[in-house]
Order: sequence, then structure tokens, then C-alpha cells
Amino acid sequence: MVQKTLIFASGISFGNTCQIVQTAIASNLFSAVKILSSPQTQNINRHLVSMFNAKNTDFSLQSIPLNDFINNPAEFLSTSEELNFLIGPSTVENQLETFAALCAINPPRMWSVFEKRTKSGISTREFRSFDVKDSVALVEISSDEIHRMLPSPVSSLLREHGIQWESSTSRFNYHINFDSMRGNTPHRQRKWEQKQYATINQLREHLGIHGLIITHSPLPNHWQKQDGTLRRLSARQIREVSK
Amino acid sequence: MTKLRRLVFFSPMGGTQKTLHDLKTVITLLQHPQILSELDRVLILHDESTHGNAKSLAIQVSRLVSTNPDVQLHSLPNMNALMDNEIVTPLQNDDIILASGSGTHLGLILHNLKTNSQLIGKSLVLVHPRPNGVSLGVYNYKISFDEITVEKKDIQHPNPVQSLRSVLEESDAEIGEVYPRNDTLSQEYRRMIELESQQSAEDFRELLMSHYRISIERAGAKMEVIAGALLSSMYSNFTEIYGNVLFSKRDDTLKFQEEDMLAMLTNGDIIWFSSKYSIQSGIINHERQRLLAKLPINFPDKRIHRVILTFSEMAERYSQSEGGVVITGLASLHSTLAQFIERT
Repeated sequence: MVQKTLIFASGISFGNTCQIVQTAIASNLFSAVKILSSPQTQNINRHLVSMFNAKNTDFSLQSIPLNDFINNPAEFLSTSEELNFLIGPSTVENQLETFAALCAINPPRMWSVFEKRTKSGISTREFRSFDVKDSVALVEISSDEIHRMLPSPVSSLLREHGIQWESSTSRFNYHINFDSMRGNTPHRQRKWEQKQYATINQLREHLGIHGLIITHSPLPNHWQKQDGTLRRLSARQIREVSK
Repeated sequence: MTKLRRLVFFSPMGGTQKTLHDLKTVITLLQHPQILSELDRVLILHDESTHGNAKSLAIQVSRLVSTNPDVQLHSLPNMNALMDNEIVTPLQNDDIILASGSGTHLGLILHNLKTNSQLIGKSLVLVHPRPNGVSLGVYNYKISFDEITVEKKDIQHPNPVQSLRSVLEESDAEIGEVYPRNDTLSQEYRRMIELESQQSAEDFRELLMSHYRISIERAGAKMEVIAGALLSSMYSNFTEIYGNVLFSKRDDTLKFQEEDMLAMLTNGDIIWFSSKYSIQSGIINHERQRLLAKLPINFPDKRIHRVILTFSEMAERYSQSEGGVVITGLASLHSTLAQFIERT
């Protein structure tokens, strides 16, 4: 039987990588997954692979350094494999380089994570092949499961900041609650805002820009600086929600 | 013999300035000895939501090319329906494709290279302007019955500098002041910068107030004037320098964000300057945090450098580039700029 291998260059968003792997395994469409890891994602992907391999012994999951793969794809793939390339995660350059490397073995069948959007948000998230012969709904990963998969320092960081996992979007959510600063002086409010910035930057380093949704509570009347920097400068990245 | 080529690209969802700049790049690239060709046709792929941008780009791209190319628009299903049916994109031999659009659009092109039987025996070029603005990845795909040969070239970006004005205008920013080129800095300002670097912030502020007979509130503004004059005298490092740039935001109760200075370096990077002539560390710290946010413009964030201009004494308290924000006095500004320009 021909081995069907799914290959993708992973982005920084751990939740996304995890969901792709889980979906590939659950779909029964592939017998192997090869994650191409950049220097930034190498450690976390290795951890993910070790966690999966501990419980899925009949499925081949590998993390390969992207540069090694691009330089010598024949070391990692055989011409008898059916190659399936998932486009989307990682940078455009990494995706184009991966496609070029795959063509050196066999031009791959192309896939994408397909999202249907409605006015109220994303309604469907699927793995779909561009030849439209196959389509698989992305597996939802529970909060417990994602925390089991995460390396413990990252998991501790998320717990420390009360980060929630949104299984429907496969993204982490950091919620900023302005009410927690009720009654504080403008100086303390400003200090608090600075701390929020630092936290956001730290979280993005670990979870990727796309892997983290930041929300905040409506700005309360008692907030001293109505044009506070957090809200004023981050309106494009942070959305207001009532929680 | 010069090869005739067709330029293919996806119409963008948001503003058109980035795509327009990328198109200029591809057009310039056609003069490259390894590609040498002439543009005789343009194909713009769009969906319902990007049709307006496609029409606008059709006019603009015609103006960029002297050969009066035939510009065609080709409609695709919208994003929600893009993968409902298999799509054959009307690609042709020798097309030069700009890597634009979404990841799914790029996937569609790569899928067509493998499956579109019309392309067997043909070759196409895909150009990817890298986000660093320094180089381009140029991929030449030769398609045969059962294989695709990919030849990749890295080419130095022939057109790295985008117009800062066009980037700002696209974001509805208002430019308060245009700094002119001024090859010399007045003797007086030169002396002030020298004195500032030798004295404590407080002493220099006193000197400034007594010399110009100004209040403490005006002292900071005077330093901004000196900083502007200094930057104008360094114009050989810049293509444009703008002051008091005002961004207004729609769909938000809080409307405005004003920045002291934004400048485009000759290598195509932007410097986001903030003047903070205060002797309170808290104000500098706060500003440093503020500058970690993104500017509301469509421009790669990695190519935006953040600089706080302050008293030299204050700048010395901070490491060279704490948290990605450089804090500098005017006397050190030249070496600060050099480090941004020398990047590769």
C-alpha cells in the first residue's frame, strides 16, 4: 500500500500545529505526518511529537528541521510515497521552499485549512484538498488535552496569566479586565497598562500572533486615561468583549 | 530576443499600495539580465470583494508600463466558495506571477502547476518580495508530464523603497509637517547638541530656557525643533521625513493617535521617532512600552525601527536597544541611524 504522507511547515501557533496533527491522524487519510520545524518551533514540535508518539504507536509522526529538509528532501521522503502538502502555516517563503523541495521528489497534492466565515465569525474549519476530493472537519481539542500537550513551562505561563483555550477557534484567549483596576490612581493604572503590554509580548513569543486572541472588557467610566495607550494603540489587535 | 510576458496577480483585500509597490518591483525586475523580458499583458485575479481594487489597480498598472499592456480581469469565487469546486486558473506559458493574495490563493496557483494539463511543457515564474524588503525569491517552474522542476534565484530587491507618503495616506493619516532636505545644520544647533551631550539633562534644560527665553513647557518643543533640523541635515539617509503624523481611527470611540516623526530610510525601512524630553524615567519607560505596539499602517513591522529621542543623560541610563526600542540623545543619532542602514 502506498504511504500517504502529510507535510507542512509549522508556524509558531502551537494550538494550530497540534490541531493539524490530531486531524491528520483522526482522518485516516494519511499514514504519516512530517512537521517541518524552524529554529523557533523546533523544541516545541519535538515535544509535541514525543507526546503523540507515546500514545499513537501505529502512526508515523516526525519533526524535521526545515532547512535540512529543503537542502536534501530525499533524505526524508521516498519517491514511492504520495506527498500531500498543507499550505497555510508558516511564512510564504517557507511554504514556497517546501513546495520546491517536494517537487524534487514528486509534485505534491495540495491541501489547505479552509475556513468559511460568516458575519458572526468562522463557521467551518476544514482540511480540504484543492482537487476537492477530500475534506475533513478539524478536530476540536479540549482545554485539558492542549494543556497535556504543552511543555510544562509554557503551560505554567498560561496558568499564571489565566489564559483560556478556545477549542472552537483553536486559539488561546487572554482577557484584560479593566475593572480589576477600579479605584486605583492614574499612576498605578499606567503601570498596570505597561505590565499588560509586557505580558502580551511574552505570550505572543510563545503562542504566535495568530495563536492568541486578546480581548478586553469595556473601558469603565472610572478609567482615568480614556485615551490610555493600551486601548488607543492596540485597537487593531485587541477587541472589546463583555465577559 | 526579449521575451514577452504576462504579469499575473491577485487583487488585495485591503489597501492597494503594498500590491502597487510589489508590481513596480516586478516590472523593474523584468530588466534583470537573468529575466530580461517585456510586459505585454496583465491578468488580475479577483473576487467580488476585491473587484473594486482590481479595477483601480488595472488603471494604475497600465500607467506603470510604457508598452501599453492589455489588462484583463478574471473573476474567481469568493473566499468562502474558493474550495467548493476545483478551480483551473487561466495561467499561460511564461506568465510572471506575483506571490500576492492569501495562503489559499497561493495554494491554488501551486495546485494548478501540478494539475492544469494546459501547462504541461510550459514554464512560469513566481516572484516573492520578501518581507525584509532586501531581496526577492524568484522561482522558475518548468512543468512536464510527471514532474515540476523548480529553479530558485535570490535577487537583490531592485526597488526596496516604498513611498512613505503613500503608506500613510492609505491609512488615512494626516501629515502635519514635511521636513525638507537641508545639507547643513546651523552652527547654533550644532553647538546646542554638543552642549547637551556634555551636561546633565536638568542643567541643559536650564541653559535652553535662558538662551531662548522660553518656559519649561516650551523647552521640550525647542528640542524637537533641533531634532528636526538635525534629521533634515542627515537627509542623505532618508527619502522622506514627516512630522506630527495624525492617525484617525474609524469604528472606535477614541479617535486619534499622533506621532512626532516618521521617516523612510534609503533602504526602505521606516523609523518611528518619538521625542521625549523629560527628566522623569517613568515617562521614558511609558513611551518605550507604547512604542512596542504596532503603527496603524500596512507595512511589515519588522522593518519599522522605534527610536525615542531624549536627553543624552537619560539615554545613557538605558541599554542600547531595550525591548527593541532604541533610546538615544541627538549627539548619538548618526551612529544609531547607521546601525539601521547597515542591516542586510
